[in-house]
Amino acid sequence: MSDRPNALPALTRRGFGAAAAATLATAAASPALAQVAPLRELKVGVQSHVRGLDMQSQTSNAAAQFLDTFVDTLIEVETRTDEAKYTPMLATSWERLSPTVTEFRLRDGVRMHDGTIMDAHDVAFSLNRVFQPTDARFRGAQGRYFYNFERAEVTGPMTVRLVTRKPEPLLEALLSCRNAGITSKEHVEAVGADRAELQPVGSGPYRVTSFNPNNELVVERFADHWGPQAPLERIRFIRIAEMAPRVTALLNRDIDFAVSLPPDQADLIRGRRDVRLVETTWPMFFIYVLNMSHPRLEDVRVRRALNLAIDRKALADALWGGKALPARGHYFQGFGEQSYLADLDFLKFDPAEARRLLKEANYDGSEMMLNFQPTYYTYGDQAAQAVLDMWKDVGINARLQIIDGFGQDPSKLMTRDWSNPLYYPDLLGAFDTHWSDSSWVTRDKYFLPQKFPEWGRLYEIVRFSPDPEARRDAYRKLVVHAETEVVPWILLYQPHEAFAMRAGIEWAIPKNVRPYQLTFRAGQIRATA
Amino acid sequence: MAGAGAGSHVGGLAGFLGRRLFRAAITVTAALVLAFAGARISGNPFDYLYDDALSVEQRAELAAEFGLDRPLAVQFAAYVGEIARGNFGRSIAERRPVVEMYAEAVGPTLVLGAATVAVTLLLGLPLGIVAAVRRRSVLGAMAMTVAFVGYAVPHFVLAIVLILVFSLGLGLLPSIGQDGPLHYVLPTLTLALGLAAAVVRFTRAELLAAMEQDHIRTALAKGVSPAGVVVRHALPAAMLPVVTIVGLQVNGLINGSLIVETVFALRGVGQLFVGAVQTRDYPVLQFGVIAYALVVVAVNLMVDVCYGLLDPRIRRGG
Repeated sequence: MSDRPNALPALTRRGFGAAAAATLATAAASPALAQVAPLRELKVGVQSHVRGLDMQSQTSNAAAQFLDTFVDTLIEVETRTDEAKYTPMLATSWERLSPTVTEFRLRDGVRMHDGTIMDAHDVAFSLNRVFQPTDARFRGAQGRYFYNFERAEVTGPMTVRLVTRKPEPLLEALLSCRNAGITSKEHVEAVGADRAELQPVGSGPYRVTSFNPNNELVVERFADHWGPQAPLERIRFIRIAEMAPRVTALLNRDIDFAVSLPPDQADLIRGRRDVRLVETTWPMFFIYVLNMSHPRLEDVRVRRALNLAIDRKALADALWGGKALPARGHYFQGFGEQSYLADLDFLKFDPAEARRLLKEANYDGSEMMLNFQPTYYTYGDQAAQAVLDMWKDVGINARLQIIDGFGQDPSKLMTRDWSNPLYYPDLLGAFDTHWSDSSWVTRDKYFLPQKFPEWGRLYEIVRFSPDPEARRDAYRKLVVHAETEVVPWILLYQPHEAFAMRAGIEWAIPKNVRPYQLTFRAGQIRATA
Repeated sequence: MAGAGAGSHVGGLAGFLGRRLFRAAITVTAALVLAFAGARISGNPFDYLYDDALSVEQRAELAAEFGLDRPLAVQFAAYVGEIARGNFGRSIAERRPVVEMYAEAVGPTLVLGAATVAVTLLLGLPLGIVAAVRRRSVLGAMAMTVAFVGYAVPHFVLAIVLILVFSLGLGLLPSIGQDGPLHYVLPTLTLALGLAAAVVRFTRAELLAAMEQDHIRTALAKGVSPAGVVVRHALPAAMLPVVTIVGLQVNGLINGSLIVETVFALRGVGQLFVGAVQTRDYPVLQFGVIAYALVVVAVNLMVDVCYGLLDPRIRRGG
């Protein structure tokens, strides 16, 4: 195995134990020898990969894994404190000139990965791609995050002015998302947008040196990075789609770090001395979107009955070993503390109430289809089958219907599976990125907010009020309204997943950033060879 | 007369080759049409490539960019015309030429294929000889058992068993990747064991048939050693069908590589093709199907030609 750059001697489990014991004994006897070399190359086994790496076009969970390594933004969010603190990154300061205009002073001497020095033109170019998208690939990021931003203007060599349509209370949160990253205008214009997807340029602590779409990404330490040097010389993100081979590769030391292991896979390696597990219950819901335009789902009592018929705890226990968190409403505990409404629980398992609501709505036994994609989320097929039986138990004539791909004709579907992660630490971190007027659920008429004036009134306050207390108060009312009178969704649970890494790697799941973002910057990982 | 005979021979071979080439052209044309139609029947790439559903306008923009907004007949004519000019199109997912993508991926697949053929022959021939020469011994029975297991066990099961034993259990071999020769050992074994099983069975059957021939008895009567008879007389006679079988197993090799490359995270043509199927990336799918058809047709053509050259009855029968 000498062909592998940081190959370790092949060891059996027993052999590894003996070697570890010997190493510990030697280290204890001689403090000088306790110094071990830092790991030079980290090999990460990921479940899903990407076909492009443009920081503005790639909004998927898969892309979120990689972007932080090579992308810098104007503003950074602190990833190790519970409370989100926003600090300067590529901008050294910013000032609100008026409620809708903010001027940013840029950091001098920031070298980009193409060798150019970042200036105001790079910033305006990068941000205007998602503020005023002329290319379809950038509209996803615009709809999720940046629909309130009107334009970025160059006001000096190192100053940029951002103009929003309405005052933007989420300015810092949105501009710290990696889809607001800064790329090199010269590079993109020279190679074209298509090539820039394959040869991305940022200013982060690592630079992309090799990218094989949908398979492997290699980033290497960027010696000219403006900030602290990257702790690793090189990181390889290798796609190993199946869970079992990913675990095997870790145990076999073919990789050092494996992502996205559900509890049953994590249990297989729990307790091993050569492996470390870092686990989390994500601030993210697995959900079914209810198609409010479908005639059989027009009545809110039917939509509520579909929710109350589901025993979420049973699902969490059976599928996730009790580690997934059953949903109580569209709000989170823990990460995103400010959005947790501890006293509210709208989603109790209440089959009697479900039956009563169906009767009151004069449900006539029409067929209710549960449309889902069996591989969209972990255990999605088992969950759908269980939900189907729970619906039948309260008298719903239910049928499963598998859908393939996201582009199905919405008028023919009653549900669609989806996930709602908390993208940034705010009351609306999971709401606005998924349920705003610019979301596809509204555009495709799954969700009909125009039927609910109260939703619009409250949403406007939560989204744009500069008064935190007013936002919080309106948010609480919005959640109550959503879960009792609108009911556009079926929330299932927050999934629980583990990151597994070999012993000797110290890494923690970052806070205040979207789920799955892998952070390997200075101070965020320590790894010994 | 001799000259007329030679001319007839050449004319017969030319006619034979012409007929075979004509059939090959029909097969490739059918693959071309099926690739175009099958890709479009299976779904629309814009339904699979984007996390969020696209708006009508976005879909229209993308369809126009890739020429998918035109009538199917026009798309087909453009597709055939471009192929005739050597242009196989641009990937919808990666927005770059599909030829470039396949060129990047073909290396590991070729290494895997070559290693698999070599291991297939190195395993299959000796075991087949042992199974024939020692057919009533424990050794012969063991060889046939290995062949039976190789035949019966699917690639994905064999791959997992090999990983469990050689990677996880013994820690001898890497389970994923393509960084060096060792990374190819398990994928090669996974593919080769199944193919070698066929070679074992054919070698044994052909060798046993050859051993019944008169010239073998004559050689033995002349005092040639049994080993010498097998190596110098029986084996050459048995080899032609065996080599033909190896050629025809190219199909199995390509099919197997789709699974094996996925399990062992090898970045080859198989993974590229599977990814294109999942995302309905028409140009990548189409190129893969056409390339597959061309390889299979070329190998079959070579086999036919070999047979035609060596067996006049086949040549005349067309």
